[in-house]
Amino acid sequence: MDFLKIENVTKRFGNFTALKQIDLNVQKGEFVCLLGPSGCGKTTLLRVIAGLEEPSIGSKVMIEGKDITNLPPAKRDFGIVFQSYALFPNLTAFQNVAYGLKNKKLPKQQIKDKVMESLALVNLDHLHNRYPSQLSGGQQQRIALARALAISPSFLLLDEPLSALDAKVRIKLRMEIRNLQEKLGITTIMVTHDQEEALSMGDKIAVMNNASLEQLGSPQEIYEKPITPFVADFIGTVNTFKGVAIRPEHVKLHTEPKKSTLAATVDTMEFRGSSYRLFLNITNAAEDHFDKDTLIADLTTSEMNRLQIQKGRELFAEMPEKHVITYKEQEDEKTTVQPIAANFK
Amino acid sequence: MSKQYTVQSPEVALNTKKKVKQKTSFVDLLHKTLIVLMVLGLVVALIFPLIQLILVSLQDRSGSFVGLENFINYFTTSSLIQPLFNTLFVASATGIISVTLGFFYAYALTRTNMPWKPFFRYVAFVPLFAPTMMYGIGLVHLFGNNGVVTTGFFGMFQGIDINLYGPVGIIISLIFYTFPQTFLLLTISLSNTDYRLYEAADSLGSGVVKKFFSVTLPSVKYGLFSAFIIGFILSFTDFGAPIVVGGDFKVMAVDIYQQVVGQFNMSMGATVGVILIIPAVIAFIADQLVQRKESSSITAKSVSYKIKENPVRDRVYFTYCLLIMGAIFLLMVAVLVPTFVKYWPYDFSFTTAHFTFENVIGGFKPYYTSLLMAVITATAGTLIVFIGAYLIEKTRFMRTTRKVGYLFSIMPLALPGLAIGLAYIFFFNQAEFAIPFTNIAITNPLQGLYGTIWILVLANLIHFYAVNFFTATTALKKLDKEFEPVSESMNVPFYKTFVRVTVPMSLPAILEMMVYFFVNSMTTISAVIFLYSPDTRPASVAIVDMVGAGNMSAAAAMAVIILLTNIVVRVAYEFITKKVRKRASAWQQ
Repeated sequence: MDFLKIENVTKRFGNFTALKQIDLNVQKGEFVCLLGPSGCGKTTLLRVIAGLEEPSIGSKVMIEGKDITNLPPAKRDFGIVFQSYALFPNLTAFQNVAYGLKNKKLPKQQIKDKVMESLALVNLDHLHNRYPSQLSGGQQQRIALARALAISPSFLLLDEPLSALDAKVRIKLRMEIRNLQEKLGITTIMVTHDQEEALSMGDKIAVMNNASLEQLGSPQEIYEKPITPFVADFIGTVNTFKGVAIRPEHVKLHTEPKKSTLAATVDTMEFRGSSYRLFLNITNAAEDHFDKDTLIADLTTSEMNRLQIQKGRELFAEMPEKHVITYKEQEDEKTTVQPIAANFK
Repeated sequence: MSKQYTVQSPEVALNTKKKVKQKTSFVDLLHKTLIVLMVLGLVVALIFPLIQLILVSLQDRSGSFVGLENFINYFTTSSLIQPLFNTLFVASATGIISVTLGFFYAYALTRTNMPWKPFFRYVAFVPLFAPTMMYGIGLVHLFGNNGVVTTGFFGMFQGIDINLYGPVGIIISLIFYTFPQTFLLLTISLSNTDYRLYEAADSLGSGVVKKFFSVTLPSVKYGLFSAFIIGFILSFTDFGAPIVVGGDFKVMAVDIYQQVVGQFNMSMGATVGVILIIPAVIAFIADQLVQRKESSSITAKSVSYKIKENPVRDRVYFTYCLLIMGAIFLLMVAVLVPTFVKYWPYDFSFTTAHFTFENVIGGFKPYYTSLLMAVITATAGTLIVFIGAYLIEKTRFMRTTRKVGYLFSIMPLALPGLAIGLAYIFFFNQAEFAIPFTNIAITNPLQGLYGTIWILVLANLIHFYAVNFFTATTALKKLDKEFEPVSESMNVPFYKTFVRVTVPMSLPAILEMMVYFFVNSMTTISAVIFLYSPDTRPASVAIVDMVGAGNMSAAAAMAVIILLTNIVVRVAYEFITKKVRKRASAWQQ
């Protein structure tokens, strides 16, 4: 049975539709990332799951088969971490983590044990006496996580938990959160606009755009088999031509023409450390499959050196069939996709 | 086990405008009840009295409905409309002069290196702590018929008569009264500038005068406008200054008082009261619109002003500030000295008898009444306004109700105290209310408040509601808006987070609200002049009565006591806030 089941969730603010008939299932213990550009509705969806926003009639949110659509947040049994951390500034780390436990009328010693245990989970038990302002951003974030976990919730909601942090701390915390989540086996839903974060942390990614869910799948599925142009374009970089697409790293460049290659000249080169990104102008773009005349290709630095590529040089691009992405037909508005081979021959 | 709530029938499912209703727990019910109570409270204490005021303005003296007849009458009778022109003149003149003086004073404090800056800053605030009658009294001692200047220091020199009684006296009093407010606003405005503009002007070779007109003035134009509006509204609705030095020059505030108290013409009093509200409302709306524009002009990239070395400029501004200071100081002396003199200006022997008030108003009772009224208003008012602002700012349900609550909360900003006082007489003194279009009448359950100290407290609470509401809202907006959702997710009831986090975090703002309520309740005259009973006469009313009876020295003594009380409270506030901040420094950066 699905742990969390979201059915037909719609949310309007006045005339603005923030969520359009969203269906989403989450298994127990899964880490699901809600990914999308700002304004796509991902945070609203998280707030509907939390009960902080009331969705439109007809929407349904279920936990382990139990309908919780009309339960207030306090009765839903979740922990939440916000982008701002929302730590109480006038309370110490210990008091912050104990905040939700105090209300449960537990014996003092039990509260203390639970708080220290939660702080130990995020490796900050030695800083329990500090006020939030005396902690670094990353430490504050971990205290917020400890506070959310201390009440032993049945699921965890994370609203852009890392976006206020420095790049390095962000990457470190990514792994820490993921490891902790796996260790505890707690079902987690995280909102993010950072595709790299989603790819590296999620068991599944739900890509959202314009109030709708575009695709739900594992990071590999989302990256390799995006079902809409939006998903392909939002996750990583993609060359899109009529009805088909290919990732830059899958474009193979040759110095001599081969069967079904495209002639193109190097326009610009970007050095990226371990690789180069090339922007090429397609020279034989006469074939009407190509509505664009630029092609992006990624090459390892050693490959670059081997091929001795320079600006203005003519190259021949091969697009291996197994890497070519075709989109599913979208409600019969798209023209029939031609066989892949025909496109690049 | 779970209740199936979701309706699956297609026509309902399509109606996506309707929201799922969450089950209401006891805590949520309490939260919602408080919101409803807050709005209902404002309806009873603000909206109903205002409606009653408008209703009376649409009636003739016998109480029958006459439509707009009173208003037509007002605008077509020259003797009735004259006070309107007088008031417009006085308020505009005060606004312009006060803004001009305040601008250069603020400029001196923000853009020069002159000495004594903290001193100048503090002394400029002193006029805030005195009732407006006090400036009038000081001016009478200086420029009145027997004034020091008028008589040429009692005949030693050639006297100068400035024709104090009338517009001159009113305008000078009101300049003193409005100066702290315009100066404060302009200080804020002048500190929020972008120095890069000056650097750009320098690189273009602009001179001092050119820079002043092309950079400085445009960058504070909204501040100047707001300051003028504040000065205008305060002067337009003031009662204390014209009652002391107005002479035969009648302004609307005095006109209302005379219509109601002198001639018992309630309907014309109400009509003038309604007309008094209109410019304030227009100015208030204009100011809100302008302020909205201003918020976009300063960005995070702006560079703050760097004061360059310029001794000549510093000396000029220092002299200017000394002159302003001297004027305030002189006026204070003119209030103070006669209070220690037996019979000013005839018998100069020393006495402290004026401070006993024995033979004039029967002792200290009015002062104690004011003190009690101010303490109750400060505590109850702060509690109510802060909780009210919290409910509006930090709640996720009842959006529409909260919007209505917000509107009601800021409305008092445009309401002159006299209009509130007048509305309160009509509303709370009414034995029963007829429900329109029916024959049903309900007995007024609040009539019992009339004549007690509680109606004075309530009038003050509403009169100063909006300013404190803004203070509270600003403080609350600084707190993370996710505190409440986080608490809710941990099943902690809202009131626990309110007590444990919201209140401690907002303590400086809460103390500021208390002081504002206290100081203004001590000095206010306009709202309470209609509402006191012989048993609950406040000190400010006693001052007006003493002035009316010719006991100028005793009136001045009372004004001084009020001033000192307020300064003591303010100093105590500074002391306590320092302690609070020190304690809070542990958890602040």
